[in-house]
Amino acid sequence: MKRALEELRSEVRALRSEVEGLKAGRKTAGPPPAPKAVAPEKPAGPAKVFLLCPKCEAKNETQSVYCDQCGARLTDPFRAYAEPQAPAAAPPPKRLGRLSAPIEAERVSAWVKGLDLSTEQFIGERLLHYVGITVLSIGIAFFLIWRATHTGPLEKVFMAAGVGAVLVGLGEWLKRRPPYDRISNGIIGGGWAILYLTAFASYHFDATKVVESAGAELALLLVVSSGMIAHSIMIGSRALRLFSFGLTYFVLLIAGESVATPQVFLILLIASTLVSVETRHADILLVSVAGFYANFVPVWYRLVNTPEALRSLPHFLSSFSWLAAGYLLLAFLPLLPRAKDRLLEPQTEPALDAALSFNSVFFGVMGAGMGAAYFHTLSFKRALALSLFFDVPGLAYVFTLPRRLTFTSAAPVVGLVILAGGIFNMPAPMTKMLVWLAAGAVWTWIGLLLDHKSWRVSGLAMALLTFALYASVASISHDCRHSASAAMFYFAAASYLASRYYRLWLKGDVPDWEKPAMEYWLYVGSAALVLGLWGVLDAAPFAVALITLALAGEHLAVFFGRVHLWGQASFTALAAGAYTFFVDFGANVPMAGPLTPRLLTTGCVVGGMAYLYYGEPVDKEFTRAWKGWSIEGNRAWLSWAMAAAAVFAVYNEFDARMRLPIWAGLAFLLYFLGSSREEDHLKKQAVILAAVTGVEGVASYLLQPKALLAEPTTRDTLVYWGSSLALLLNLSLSKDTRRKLTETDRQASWAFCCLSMAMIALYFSKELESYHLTLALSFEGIVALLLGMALGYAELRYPALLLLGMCVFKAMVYDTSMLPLPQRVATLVVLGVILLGASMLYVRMGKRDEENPPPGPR
Amino acid sequence: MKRILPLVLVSAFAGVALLLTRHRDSPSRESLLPALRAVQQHEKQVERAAGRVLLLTPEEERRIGAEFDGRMSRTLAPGTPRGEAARRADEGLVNEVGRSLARAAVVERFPGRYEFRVIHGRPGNNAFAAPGGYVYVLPDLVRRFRRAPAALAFVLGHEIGHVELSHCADGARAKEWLAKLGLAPVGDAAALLRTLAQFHFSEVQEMEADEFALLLLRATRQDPFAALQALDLLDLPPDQETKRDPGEIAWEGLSDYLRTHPRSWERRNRIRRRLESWSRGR
Repeated sequence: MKRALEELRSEVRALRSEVEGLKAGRKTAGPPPAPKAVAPEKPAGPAKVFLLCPKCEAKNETQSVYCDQCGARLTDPFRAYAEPQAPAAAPPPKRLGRLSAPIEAERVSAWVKGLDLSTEQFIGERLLHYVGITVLSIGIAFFLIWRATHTGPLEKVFMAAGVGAVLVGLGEWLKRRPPYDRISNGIIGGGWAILYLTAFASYHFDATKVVESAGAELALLLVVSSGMIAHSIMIGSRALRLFSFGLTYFVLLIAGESVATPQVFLILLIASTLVSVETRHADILLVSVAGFYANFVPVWYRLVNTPEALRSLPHFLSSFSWLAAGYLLLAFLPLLPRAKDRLLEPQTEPALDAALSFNSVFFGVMGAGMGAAYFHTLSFKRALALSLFFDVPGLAYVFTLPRRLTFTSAAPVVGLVILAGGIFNMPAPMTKMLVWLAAGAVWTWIGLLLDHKSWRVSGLAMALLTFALYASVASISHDCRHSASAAMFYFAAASYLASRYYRLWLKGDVPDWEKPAMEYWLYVGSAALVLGLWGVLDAAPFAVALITLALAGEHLAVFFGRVHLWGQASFTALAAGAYTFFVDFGANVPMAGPLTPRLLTTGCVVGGMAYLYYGEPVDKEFTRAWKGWSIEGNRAWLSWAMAAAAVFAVYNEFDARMRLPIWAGLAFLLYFLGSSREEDHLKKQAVILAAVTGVEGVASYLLQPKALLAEPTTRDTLVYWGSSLALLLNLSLSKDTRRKLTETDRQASWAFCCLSMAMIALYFSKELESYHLTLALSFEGIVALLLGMALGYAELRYPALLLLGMCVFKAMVYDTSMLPLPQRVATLVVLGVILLGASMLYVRMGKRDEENPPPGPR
Repeated sequence: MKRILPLVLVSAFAGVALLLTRHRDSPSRESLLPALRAVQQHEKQVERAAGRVLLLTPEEERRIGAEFDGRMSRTLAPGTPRGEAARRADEGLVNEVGRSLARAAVVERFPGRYEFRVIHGRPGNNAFAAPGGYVYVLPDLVRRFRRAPAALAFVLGHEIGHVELSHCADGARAKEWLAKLGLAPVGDAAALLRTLAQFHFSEVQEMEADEFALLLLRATRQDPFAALQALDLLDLPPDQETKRDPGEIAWEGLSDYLRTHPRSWERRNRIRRRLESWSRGR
């Protein structure tokens, strides 16, 4: 047929060339058509001429004798093909009639090209007979249904069995008559299926019940299935083989309890396994595993629905032991020399691997599920016992089988998962955590000792899951949290130990994924330690513990040469600073004198950070190996965190009045440190803090209702005034021309002067009223002006002038309007005199500067 | 010294952590509230700054309160379920306690001018204040506090605090000013917006009112510890759980917006802190 199609295709091409030649006015037997033959009326451009290969249709040069692509001989000159380089004009409509024949041929050619012969072949040879056999089976089924109303059971059974036998015979007959041998296997399978179902129906359905005894029915089923399996193996068809085994197992799923017993499943599994080994067909095991465990689903259902009164361990074992026996049979199968030799071959190994992996997983799920459902919980003892079903074969695999096999890895993983389930259900939180850790450690150690990856990986995964277990345990109650936290300390210690020695314990070449294992354990240890501390400590001591860890961590990092530890410690220091923002200190009742928990905690955190900042316990070169951040960056962040934590603590500890002088003092200190160490970010912090203090003075102190402010004591007043005036001392630093002054220094001198005056003005505004306030502010302005003139500081003079301006405004608008006339006159006179005096001072200062110009800009 | 100092510091810090753990008088816990409160306090101060510009005189505030009081009186129709004697006893107790507070020196805005009303026929343990010095108490609350007059004084002092600290006036300020400008409908919208905004800092106002109530108790020579008794009587027990899951902490912070009053833990601690400072002579 293919040949005929090829010939047809060649003919069509020849016709097309002939038509093109006629259009060009030339004989078809001539040389390849000229370019103008394609578009005689209006040539679109020079055309290129090719010879089409009859075999692969590749284009070849006209001089070629053989195809460039496939090497076939280019014998037929009619297959020359002209391909214009530019698009040709459309042919005139009146010529359509003449060209219709080649167009039709072209359509036929396209249709033939679109055909997929293999698909057609599949449909014709396979699909049709599959559909046929299905339709036939349905027909027979309907026939049986029809006959069921008219005949007795025996007739029905014989009729069905006869149909099945006929089909099997027909399949065998066709096998010897090609090409019909291709459909013979399907017919044979259908025949056996009918036979097997008939055997099943002969006991299970009343309409066809001819067998009364369950034993006889079982024997009948086994006989038929044996014949079916033997026949399929003799034929050598994989499809038929798998079908036979599948049918054998899965028909039992719908069989009655008297027939489908666990013993039958096990016998079937043993038989299947023997057949598999003896015939070297590992795929049989795949179907057998699926069928065996599927058959246990009804058993499971019956077991978990057992009345409570009847439940006992022997009762459970009566069903479970058959399941376990089947599992063990397969689990130990690859350890038997004969099975190993016959099934561990390149062709059979994947199927064996898959079957045994499924065996582990299915047994794990079913075994643990049955136990948990039957006893209402998966206890640790039962989980341990079940886990041994996997661990023992798993250990045996390590010594006897190649490690590439998946089931050798699946066994320890499934065993550990089941054990973890049992541990999770333990009642005592502390024991639970410790046993969990021990299990993870044992698996890791076996992996290390036996150099087996899957044991180690499952142990490492279990270690990671410890944190999830902690979250689960800690959320139960306060006591559970404490117990779980205590266990985390053991975990941290074990992890640090592993981090030190893990690499040494590893045998052979370290795989890439495992190279960072030492750091992995280091991080796990630190996380466990922090989590443990968080669990046992309240927020305030935890903050102190964090900074203590950071401090110790930096030193230990240097001592042990572990840069990752430094990374953790430097991060922890920052975290401790940030954490103080989220600590609610409760009543914050003083512990001793004025020392409250907040002050003590913040003092420790800030002190620890200050030690790390100023003490420089780590060599900078040592930290270069750390890629997360630089030590310079970390220290800069540390200084900001330090300042922020201190400022926030002061905000919460003191009322709106007293926080101002303390912040001002802190700003003073920061600027002093920044100047002495020549660190600009400290100076920036000082300037920002000064600005914040000024804003806070207005926002909180000035606007706060007086009733909510504590009555200032003498000490408070002294602190307030002392701090306000001390700010002016910073001028000596910010204007010290012996140092290299920056823009920040200039900003600082303005910020400190303004803040100093603002704080004094705020104090007056809060404590005095009416014209007393005006007078006090005027006095402050005058003093500042005088001081600014005497020292030559514009930073004092400008705020002083602003303050005086405000005083004038206040006096004119508010004060005098409410005063009696004498006081109004007095106020205005005093103000006038003050302003005149200020003006005179300015004149005098200007004159002095003209005579003795100042050395530099001030 | 360079080797010893870290050891000394680590030991000292470990000791401090231990000390803090044993200081059970004042347990600490993680919370988003400290940072949140700092923001809220500043929001309140912004409103106070607006109050300095949009001034509301005591007379104007009193007029607003009187209008509200008139509306309240109209809703309080006859039909009281309780006997007249009991009603008079409730009103007598509230007036007696309240007026003694209103005469204290710290009451500066409406000294001696407070009006106390018992709203009969309404269930609930609640009290509230209106601008101008009108304080309303529900009868269930009076019954509950009958045997604890100092605790009742704390509750009334709390409401007086709302008036004295202009919390009530702040609520009516924008509306009043817009009405003065002939924009009364806009004033209603502004009042609604302000109410929504107030959700965010109302806890701060409540704590300020608590503090003012303590000052009043102290000024009238009553036992300030009655404040804690009042919280007990209001069924606001202390929250004992100091260690909470991160989810609970986050929820506490997020749900704070939906609350009008701070949690019991926070109120009690603020009160305790103030009482402690007074007992130490501060």
